[in-house]
Amino acid sequence: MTESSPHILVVDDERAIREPLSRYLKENGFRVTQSDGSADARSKLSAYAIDLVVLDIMMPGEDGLSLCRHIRANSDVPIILLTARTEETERIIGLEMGADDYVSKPFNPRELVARIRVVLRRMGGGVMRQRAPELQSYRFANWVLKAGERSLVDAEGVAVPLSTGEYNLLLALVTHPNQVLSRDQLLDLTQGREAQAFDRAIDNQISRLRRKIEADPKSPALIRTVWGGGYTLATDVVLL
Amino acid sequence: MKITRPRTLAGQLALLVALALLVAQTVNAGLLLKERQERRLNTISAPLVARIVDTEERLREATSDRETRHGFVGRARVSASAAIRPGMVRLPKVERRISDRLAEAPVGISDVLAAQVSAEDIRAWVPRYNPGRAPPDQEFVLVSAKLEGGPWINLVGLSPRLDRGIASQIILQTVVLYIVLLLAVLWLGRRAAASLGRLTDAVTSVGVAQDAPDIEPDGPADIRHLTTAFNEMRGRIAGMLAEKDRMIGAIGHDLRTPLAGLRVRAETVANPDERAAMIATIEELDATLDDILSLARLRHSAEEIRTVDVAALVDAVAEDFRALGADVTFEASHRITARLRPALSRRAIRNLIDNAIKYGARARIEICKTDGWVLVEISDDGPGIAGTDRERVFEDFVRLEQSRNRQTGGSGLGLTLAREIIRGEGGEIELENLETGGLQVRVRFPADRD
Repeated sequence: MTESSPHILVVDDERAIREPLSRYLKENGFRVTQSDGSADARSKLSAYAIDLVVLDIMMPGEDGLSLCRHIRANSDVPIILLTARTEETERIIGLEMGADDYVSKPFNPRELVARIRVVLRRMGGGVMRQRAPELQSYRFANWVLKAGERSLVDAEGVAVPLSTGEYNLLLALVTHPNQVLSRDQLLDLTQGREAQAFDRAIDNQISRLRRKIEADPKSPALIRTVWGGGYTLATDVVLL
Repeated sequence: MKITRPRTLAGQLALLVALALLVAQTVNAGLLLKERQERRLNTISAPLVARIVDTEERLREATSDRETRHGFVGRARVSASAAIRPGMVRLPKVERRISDRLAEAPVGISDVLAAQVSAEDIRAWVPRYNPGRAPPDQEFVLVSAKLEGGPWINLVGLSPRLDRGIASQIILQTVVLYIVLLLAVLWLGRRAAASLGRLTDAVTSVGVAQDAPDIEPDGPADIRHLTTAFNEMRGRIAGMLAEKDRMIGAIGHDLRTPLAGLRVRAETVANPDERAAMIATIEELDATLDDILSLARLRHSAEEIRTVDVAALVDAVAEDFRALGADVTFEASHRITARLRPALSRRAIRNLIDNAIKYGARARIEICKTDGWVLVEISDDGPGIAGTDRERVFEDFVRLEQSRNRQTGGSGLGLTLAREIIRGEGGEIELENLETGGLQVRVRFPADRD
């Protein structure tokens, strides 16, 4: 652990989560500061140079959402929310208040570390903060991909459900329209929250996606193969 | 034709009133008829009695045989034998009435006979008898009274015709009563039934539509009270349901938090086998918790109903399982649409495929559209389920452990949840053992009108 390793603030009123999580993050090369509530977190945020906040939504007193709003109003420090899966609406509200990502309890700590790295890399790359892709709707060709609902809807309003792999791949494509993405890049981008996405070959997913969204899957017009390169979504994408 | 008892309130009320009215009218008509008959009897007998008394007087006062020369005294005929012959229609009631009246008079009469006769009969008997202005079908009464120790006095009187108007009068009265009363009863019945019907609808919808408005109390007071009581009960139930949701949410949070702590700690367990087992258990607990919470909250899911390509939905779930290395076959199909809640339906299909893989090694899925239904069939290679257990597996927390390995895990809520979801979409689910072995789960959703 060095001075240059990222400094994470873990805010959770439950010691049962806060302490093992802090230990786990330290083992994975992060500097960690713990906080058991919103008031304490505010003072630690001003005292230290925090690189990222892991924040529990449900806390007694001032809750996570309120703290999230406060942090976003004052700084650009990225926030990852800890949510219970039953609190769908709070998760969405949290993302809308400027949280960068979330994990549902009980989360896989490895996944949390992966997400922390993705968010830090995104921030380090100097990319402008944008709404979490999760909240967007993307219109391309005759389709609308509603990321929040994870549904693909055609011009007639018929929902076409996608497998997890297909969804992650399509989300990667619509967020990088008209760019050539290599298989490695696609693999990297689709490393989503579900482990099974890793297991399927990208090519297989692409052909499945083509069957669903191409007018003629045999001569694909939307998802083009770039020889030696990878794939590209050959259409403009409009954010809704 | 088989006559069935009416089932509705209005029908039963009307039937009851009709029957009561029928009895009352029958009694009424009987009394009326009896009274008319009495009057008719008197009308016939009173003048005859007077004339018998008068004839007897004149006979007594007759000084010579001349006055009775032709056997006639006035319009009465006096004879040694009765004018009434056997074969004439006797009138026993008239006889009795005349006897009774004569018994009160100062005459000695030993026998009275009466018979119904026509004008023809009278002419045969008294050739010079003039029926006067009597109508041709006028009937007459012939009376023979025997004087004690003397001759018979024979007399003819008019027999007033039976008053047929009375019957039609009673019938008309009954019909009018029926119409008026039955209309009133039916109206009342309908009104009560309508209030009850609204109440029934509302009762049926309890738990389905939580925020339905109160029913406006309407109809008879009894039913209004019932409606008010129902509204209050619904309020209490809504409160209880809200409390249940709040509690389930709290339980979910309270259990997930320590579970999350455990999950993080599990990562630090050195022994990889131990670690994997811990993580599996934690995930299992989480899945069970999720099933419980979902089942409890199913009735008020916020998910929107939309037109969904069911074939793509099944394909997506099958692909997710394949990505995990499961043996799932599904031939991609053309688009088959239905109106349903996609995430919930996806969950139902996922539970069913999961069962097929767990208990039947693999899942073979087919989809088709028939008669307005979208049919999804999921078959496995497992041992199937005995007929008696096929309903039981849908009950909460039921697992058929005899035939199934405990290690297959699961909360026992998977099928319950699947069926609740499918029924919520207006569909149905059936289980059947295949002849080739294995279980087939048949799910149908109402197809989209296209």
